[in-house]
Amino acid sequence: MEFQTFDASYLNKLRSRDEATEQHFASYFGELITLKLRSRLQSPEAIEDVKQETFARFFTLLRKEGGIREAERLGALVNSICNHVLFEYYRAGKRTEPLDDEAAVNLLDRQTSALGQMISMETRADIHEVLNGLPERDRNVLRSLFVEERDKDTVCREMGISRVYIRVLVHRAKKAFRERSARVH
Amino acid sequence: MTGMNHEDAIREMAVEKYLLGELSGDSRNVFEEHLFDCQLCTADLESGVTLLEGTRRELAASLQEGTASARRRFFPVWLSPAWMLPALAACLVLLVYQSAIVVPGMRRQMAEANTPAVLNTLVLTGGQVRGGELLKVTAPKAGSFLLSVDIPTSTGYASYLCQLQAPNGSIVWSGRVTPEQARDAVQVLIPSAITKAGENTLVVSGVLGNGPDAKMDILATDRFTLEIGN
Repeated sequence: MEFQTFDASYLNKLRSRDEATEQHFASYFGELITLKLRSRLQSPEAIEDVKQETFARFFTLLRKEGGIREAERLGALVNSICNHVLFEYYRAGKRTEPLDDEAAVNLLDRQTSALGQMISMETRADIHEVLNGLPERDRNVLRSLFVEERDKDTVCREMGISRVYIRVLVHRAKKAFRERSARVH
Repeated sequence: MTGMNHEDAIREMAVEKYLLGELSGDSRNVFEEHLFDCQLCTADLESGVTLLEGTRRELAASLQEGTASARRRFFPVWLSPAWMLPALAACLVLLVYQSAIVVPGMRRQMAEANTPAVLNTLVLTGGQVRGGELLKVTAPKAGSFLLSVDIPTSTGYASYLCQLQAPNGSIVWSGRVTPEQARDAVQVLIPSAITKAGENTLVVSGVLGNGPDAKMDILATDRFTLEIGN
């Protein structure tokens, strides 16, 4: 991932409609907003609506004189705008507020898009190797949570593990995946 | 609730909790506020999402493969359709053959065996042929004939052996006769099917002793002509 510095220069490029900067903004924050909304909204259409409204309000504020003062807090601003849009969406009666501690697959894309297919093919080998490096028990934990979508407490009880164990498992797998991706690609 | 910095996020495993849906309410809002400002946590989160989405597909595919494989293993190779269909066809042919031909034939033979019948009889007198001509007996093709044999008995023989030779010299039947049975003419029922039409020979031997290696003396040789009718 290419890290971008959110500063005054970045804001100026956005104001001047610099294409590369606009694409980066839409890609970077679009992904973050999508992940945030997946745990709150059920339909992809609702997620897209809220995302587009968030962008629209951001760019309105961007082009307003003195609308954005702290470039370094650009991310927090986008998040705040998204929260307001989401709140209005809930108030409009169209919300589906998930319960606390939902199933672990909340953030995962349930609809595999063409882009998602291409990306998964590219990284499939890395993921395959990471999974092969895990003990069978850990693969069973991941299968129970993310394929069978079983309740986490039930899985912990049946397999004699704790919630902390699951978090550590995800952490180690993610670390191995990132190290492998950085090494190979 | 106070804000979160990157060190807080790492220490609290906030990205993992977020991936697992374990953050809610204020804790989720605080993390998201940090997340939108922290490119490191954003990169970490996106890697986690990619990994877990790929894991779900990979493990789901292996689960399906495992199910399919088990299904295949449940039916071993020799039960696969490629083998089963010809095998079933062969079984069907065998079943029809047995039902239509073999079993009715066996039933017919059993019925005949259990039915009283008058048999043509040939009396064999120990190798003595009257008038120089071979004795003749006629038997139906699917029937039997009777041989009445006078055995030239003698002391010293533990038993007697009767053997029927077909026209080609092959022994088609042999039977033991005790000394008690040999006191009178021995009646032997011969099915036509076990031999051939033509000159047959009945050989009578005295057996010295018991056991498979006991010596034998040929006592009489009776030749006769068998005619097999329709």
